[in-house]
Amino acid sequence: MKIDPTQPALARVEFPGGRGSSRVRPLITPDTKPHYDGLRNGHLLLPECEACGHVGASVGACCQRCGSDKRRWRESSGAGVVHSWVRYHRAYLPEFEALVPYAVIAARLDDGPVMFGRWLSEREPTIESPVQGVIEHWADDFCGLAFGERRK
Amino acid sequence: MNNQVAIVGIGTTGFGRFADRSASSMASEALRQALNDCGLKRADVDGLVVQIGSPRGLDYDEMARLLALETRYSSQTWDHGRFCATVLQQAAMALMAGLADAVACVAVFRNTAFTRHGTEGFPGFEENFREAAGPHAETPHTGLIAPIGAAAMHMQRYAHRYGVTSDALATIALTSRAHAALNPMAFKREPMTMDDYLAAPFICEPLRRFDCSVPVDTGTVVILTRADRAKQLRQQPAYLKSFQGLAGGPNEFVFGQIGLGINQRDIFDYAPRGAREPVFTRAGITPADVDTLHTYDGFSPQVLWALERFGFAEPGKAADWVGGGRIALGGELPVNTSGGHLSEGHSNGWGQTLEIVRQLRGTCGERQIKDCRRALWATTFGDAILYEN
Repeated sequence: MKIDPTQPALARVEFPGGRGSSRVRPLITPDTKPHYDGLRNGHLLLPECEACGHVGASVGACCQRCGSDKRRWRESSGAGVVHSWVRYHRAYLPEFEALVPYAVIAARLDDGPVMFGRWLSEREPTIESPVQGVIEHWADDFCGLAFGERRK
Repeated sequence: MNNQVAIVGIGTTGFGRFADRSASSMASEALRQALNDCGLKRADVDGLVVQIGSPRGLDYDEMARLLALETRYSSQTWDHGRFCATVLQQAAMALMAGLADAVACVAVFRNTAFTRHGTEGFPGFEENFREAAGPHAETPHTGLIAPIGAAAMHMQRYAHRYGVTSDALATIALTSRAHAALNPMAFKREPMTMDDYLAAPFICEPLRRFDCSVPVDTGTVVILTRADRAKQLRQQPAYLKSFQGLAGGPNEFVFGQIGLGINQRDIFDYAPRGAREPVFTRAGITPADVDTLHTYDGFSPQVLWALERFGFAEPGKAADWVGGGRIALGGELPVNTSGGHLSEGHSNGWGQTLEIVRQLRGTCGERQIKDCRRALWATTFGDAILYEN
């Protein structure tokens, strides 16, 4: 698919926690690189299976439903709803110490998969309420996914 | 298995904070006890299956060397608690295949010598950065970290899906503590009330402190032989009647319920196999024939999910089902009578295994279940062993 890097689709915020470096970023492999490159360019790209059409959250070498290794990248709007959420009252990682208590949600995207992201809004997450994916930028240029309330 | 293999000897250091003890000293103490328990000699042990390797425990090669075991069958699992039944099943299969005649299953692990699970410095911290997510769905850059995170995420969705309140979790925590109070080996024995439960802080909402297991240091050895030999040894054998292995796949998550869709591929209404699980059908019994259930309770909701997966309660109904003392000693299905991971201490299922053996021997004292004939180990993650005396 054509992605215009000069036209980011998702809003971007700075990670407000400690250190600011993405020491705790996920392992980026050739399989996952397009997803993380996409986030850095302002786009949420998800793997879509060319064989069965499954759109996955986890990015491996093949489709999690049918096992096919033929897939394309599909842009997601990042819109969805709160599928579940938690609130940490303890920081396990120094990066999050200043943020405690902080919430993390599992967002059920309109485009299919459930994805995790830090919760950016003041109000407590409510299950099934609308959310919007936002790109969270770390000081050393790693970008991850986060979520905030979406106004209907 | 049909009772062709049995646990014949057990030994343990108990469950506590033994920060200055080596893994080999804990293994050695537990092995000596287990040998004395059954009457086998060290030289009789020719099989070894290890659950937790270095640095929390000992790898099989160093274990065999330091404990003076000469083994012709040796194995070891990944360093996670979920492999208790897998280790026992490997031992049983090795015995059935004639690869060994007496197998020692050794689980030694130290916690207090390390930092908190989920923090840097805890052995295996680098597992948080696997290709997709950590072993408990950890996704550190989102803040979802430590085993509790996705367990709490599952509980929140489960509560929403089925209209469950935290009272059910309190019942699990309070029952575990009441059982532990009767177990001299348990680490947490002081009484706990509903007020205590509710007053304890959230660790990761919706889970509170007492919804979490208690980290301890422990060493446990369980020795298995084939039935013919078991009958000649000192103790009443705890026979393995039937078992089934650990489940895996895109919809499996160790600390959650199938179908909730968190670190799982699909979201759907869960219809457990329940009484149709192979552990029951192979033994020709139903869940109602089980005298006591022992399960992996790293977090309290796992007890609810195990009850539902194995057909003791309908999906979403376990929270009601556990009320009224049903899972307490004296109830219809006493669960984790040793106090489990929540109160005896987090033993990766070995404390529960010892308790199953003691219940089937009739040596549980105040905790003894009358006429205990069948004890089931069954977990949220789908594995199970049915034991009989």
